[in-house]
Amino acid sequence: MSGRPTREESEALLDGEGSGPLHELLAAASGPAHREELAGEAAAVSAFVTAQRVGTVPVTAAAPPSRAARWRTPTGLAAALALALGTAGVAAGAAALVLHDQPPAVSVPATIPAARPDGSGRGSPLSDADRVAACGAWSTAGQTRGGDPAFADLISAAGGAPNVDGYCAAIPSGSPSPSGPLPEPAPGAAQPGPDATRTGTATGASSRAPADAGRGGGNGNGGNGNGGNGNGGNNGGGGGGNGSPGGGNSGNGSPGRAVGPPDTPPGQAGRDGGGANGRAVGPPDVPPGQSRRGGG
Amino acid sequence: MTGPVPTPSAGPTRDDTRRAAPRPDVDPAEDLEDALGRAMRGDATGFVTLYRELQPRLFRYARALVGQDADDVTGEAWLQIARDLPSFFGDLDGFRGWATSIVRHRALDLVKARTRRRAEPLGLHGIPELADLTAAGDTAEAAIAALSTAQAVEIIGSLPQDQAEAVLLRAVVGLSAEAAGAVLGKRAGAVRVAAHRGLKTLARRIGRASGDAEEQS
Repeated sequence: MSGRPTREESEALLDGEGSGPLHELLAAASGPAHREELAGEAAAVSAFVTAQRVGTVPVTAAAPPSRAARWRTPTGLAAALALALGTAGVAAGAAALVLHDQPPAVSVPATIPAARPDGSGRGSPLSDADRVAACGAWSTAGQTRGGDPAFADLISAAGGAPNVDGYCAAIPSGSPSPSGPLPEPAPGAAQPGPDATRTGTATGASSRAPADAGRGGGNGNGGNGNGGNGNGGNNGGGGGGNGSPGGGNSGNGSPGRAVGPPDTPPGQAGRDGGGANGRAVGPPDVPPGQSRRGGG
Repeated sequence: MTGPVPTPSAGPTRDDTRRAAPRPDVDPAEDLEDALGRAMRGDATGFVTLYRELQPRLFRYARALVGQDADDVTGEAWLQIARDLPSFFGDLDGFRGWATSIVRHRALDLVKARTRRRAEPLGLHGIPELADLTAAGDTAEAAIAALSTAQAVEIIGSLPQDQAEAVLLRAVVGLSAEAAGAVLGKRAGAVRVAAHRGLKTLARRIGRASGDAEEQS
């Protein structure tokens, strides 16, 4: 075909079909990879491996006392509540939230959280901070919480779902003691901001601050839905998980919203102004990161 | 950063999937879907497969947005992808869209930063004119058939940005109009229109270049 393509011809060309100069041009543009295009592979893989390693830090790693205390403040509780209730319109992109909203047929949730390094998964005590966070989420979670993987650690720590309420009621009022010093996180990295949005995940993530911070402004990128899993701050897990790097203020005072700075989200769907809802914008399989900014 | 590709022991790995080009008897899409699944489970070989499949496409897209800095942009984007993959949820198409969005945000951030420093137009400089390419007496068709990948990307990148992005996202990155729309914050229909316009513009340039070549010969 020479001359100007019709709409149909354009679509075919864009799909790699058709013939003629335009087809040749597009084919050339999508030719095989050149070595220099793949020059960043080692760095990318290294980042991937690091992220995976970070993701296996036990969620029971203690957090400083102040974090636990935050959960007892009205603001902290409100944030927990907002997150736990699944503010779908606002933070629909939160990974954990999506995970838990998905039909059970989707088996990914089981594969996303990092494996517990100790392999036990049973009866491990939660740190007080995690315990408070998990209990907060538990108290606001729905009927299905007993089967919710996000509460697995809480349930196992309590010795079974029926015991969770008692376990939560028995939270000591004293401060938990950290198991070790928390290395300096980068400014604005995983360090929590003022009370506002300290989420369950953030608590978990902060124990991984060294690694995150080391990656330059990395946020409490809950890298891993792991925080959500371990501490029951299920929706918070997503918020942290999606906090996008670059600015990474994980405590930026907007409860219920994923914590990344607004201008550098990994996702995009919300910006589709035409999207009818915060969630299903874009292709049918938009990943969680993409439906962030649901307010679009 | 230069060590060998680590291969975590998470699950069995298939050696053939470590290569970018899948064996002919393996459905590439299925293979990549499998790679994505493994990467999401923490398997670095799956991640490598994804990288090799997607990076050249993303690089070319970034090239049209930021020119020489495309490798910086995609490099940063992959760091973010690597870090955030554990919280990613979706299938291969979703992953493509997600990764492309990250690249686009990185690219636009860079453009913004550049604009703050000094006024510098978006995109490429020194765009090859099709007329130049045909000056040697080749027909436009022959010249285009001989285009390198980089030249082809530059020619597409010389379109108005919305058209260039639509064409590249559809034809090079391999997104559907819907997915491209999600990346661009537009409706799928708008993407189709922009891409169509872009191709028409290119066709017109090719036609003009052909005319020039004929005049010269």
